[in-house]
Amino acid sequence: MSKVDLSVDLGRIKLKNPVLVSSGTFGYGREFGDFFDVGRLGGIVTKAISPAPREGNPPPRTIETAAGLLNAIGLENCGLDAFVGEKLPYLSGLDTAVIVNVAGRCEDDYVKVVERLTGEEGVDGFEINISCPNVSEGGIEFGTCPETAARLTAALRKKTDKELIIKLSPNVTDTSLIALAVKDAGADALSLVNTYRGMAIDVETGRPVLGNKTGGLSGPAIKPLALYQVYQVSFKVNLPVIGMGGIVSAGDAMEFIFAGADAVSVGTANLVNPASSVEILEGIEKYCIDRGIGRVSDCSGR
Amino acid sequence: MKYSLKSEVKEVRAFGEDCYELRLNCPEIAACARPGQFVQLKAWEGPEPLLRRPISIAGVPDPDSILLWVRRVGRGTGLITGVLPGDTMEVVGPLGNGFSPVSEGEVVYMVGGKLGAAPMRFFSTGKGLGAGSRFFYGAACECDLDLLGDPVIECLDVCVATEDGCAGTKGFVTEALVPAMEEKKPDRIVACGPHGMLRAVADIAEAAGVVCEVSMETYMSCGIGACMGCAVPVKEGGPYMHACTDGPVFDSRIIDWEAF
Repeated sequence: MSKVDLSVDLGRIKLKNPVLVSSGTFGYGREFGDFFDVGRLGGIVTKAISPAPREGNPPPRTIETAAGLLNAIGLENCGLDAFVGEKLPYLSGLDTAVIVNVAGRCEDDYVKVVERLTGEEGVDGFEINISCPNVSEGGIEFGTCPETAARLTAALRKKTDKELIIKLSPNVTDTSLIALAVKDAGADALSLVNTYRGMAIDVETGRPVLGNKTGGLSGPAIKPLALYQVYQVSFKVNLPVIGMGGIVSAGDAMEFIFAGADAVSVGTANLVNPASSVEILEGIEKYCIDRGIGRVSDCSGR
Repeated sequence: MKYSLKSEVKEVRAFGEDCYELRLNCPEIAACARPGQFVQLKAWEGPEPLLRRPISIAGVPDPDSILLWVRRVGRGTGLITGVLPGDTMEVVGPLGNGFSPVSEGEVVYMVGGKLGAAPMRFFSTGKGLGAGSRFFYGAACECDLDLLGDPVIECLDVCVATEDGCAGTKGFVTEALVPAMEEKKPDRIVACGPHGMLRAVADIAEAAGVVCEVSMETYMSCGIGACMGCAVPVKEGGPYMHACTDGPVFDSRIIDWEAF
């Protein structure tokens, strides 16, 4: 039995600990089963699911940058039917919260996925991706306008009683305006942040490296930027926040918690060290024990 | 089974131009590695460079070790090749599918361009290769010829092509492969090397009606099928497959070379 109460409250659900893994960096969970017991995590956020399978963007899809990773995967995923038939049974058997990331081109796409999965016992909640910078109709138009974000959130709220998390884009002038709008429309929590739009150019050819030309930047390079977003949104908006953006150590995770996050999500680090999420979890626990902190949620800097 | 381990460097040997042979102590990976598979390496602390480097396995010289050939091309490979015996590095593997197993007596032409020779070396140690199997090695110049002194490569029937003509046939490795194919067709061709070489070898194999497996290189991040970054355009079963889980070895006929 842990000496530290690691549980955190995200509104409609309670996680046994504050460490999640970010959509798109953890596959459908099983990919990491060789490396550690993925059931130890507070929650798993799946690869984005769209109603029909998506083939993704032309390669190259990723390129390393200074302490960062640019990606333009293009929401490649197996689609709703294959997710239910092939991926969900494994996830359902794990002792961890399963959050399905949902992507769509239009409101109807999001509604289809949420409506279908809300009745699945293995699904604990949804993270709505209104912030993918890498496909022309990847939902980002929902994420850059408070009114459309609120309308989509309200439509999904009508379809599910399960946890509804909205994943926000940092590629806007004021994230807190979108955050306030989705809160009023019924969101339970916020994920902050999705990737920052960026690009890299091959100086030999003078052309963009990525097949999609532009991509989303993640990794330690964006950590100070993401931390600021969590800090300012959690100050202004009274909703639980899942903080993410370049977390590679327990220290990074604690920074997000002190900045106001209730939980944290490990993303790009999973691609480097497959066990980084559980190592970060162990590090958070040790941090609390070493300092006599009885409850990790007491650290949240709200 | 895949492993994520800290592994001790047992031996480092420089050869050719900026190439290094590393022997790492990792019995778990050595026990299950197959030719054509790779490992992801990190030999530094902290997030810069960020990603591990995917390196093909060149052999399992003893039950405790894997052998790797690495060319120093940038910061990541510079740090990997800068290790000393006794240092440790982080290793994830074995990853990928590997070449199809050798059937008894199968005659295989192994084609390797530069350090694409590494998985060919591992492949050639498999049991059952038929008489008449050969290794075609494509090099740029004399400095690439050092690896022919490797004890495993030395035992093979080697056919060399050099771009500058300093040894063997002058030109690309395909200049050596074409006449050999006219003389005797193998049961299979396996190849690893630069993209242009693989495509040329695939064309030769297809024209001769010979099965050809190519090991494809792409930008790669996770290596374990999580990020879906290493897309390979294919004509069947896709538009895309993934080098880290569906590959890196593919039947050359399914690759959509034009879409790369």
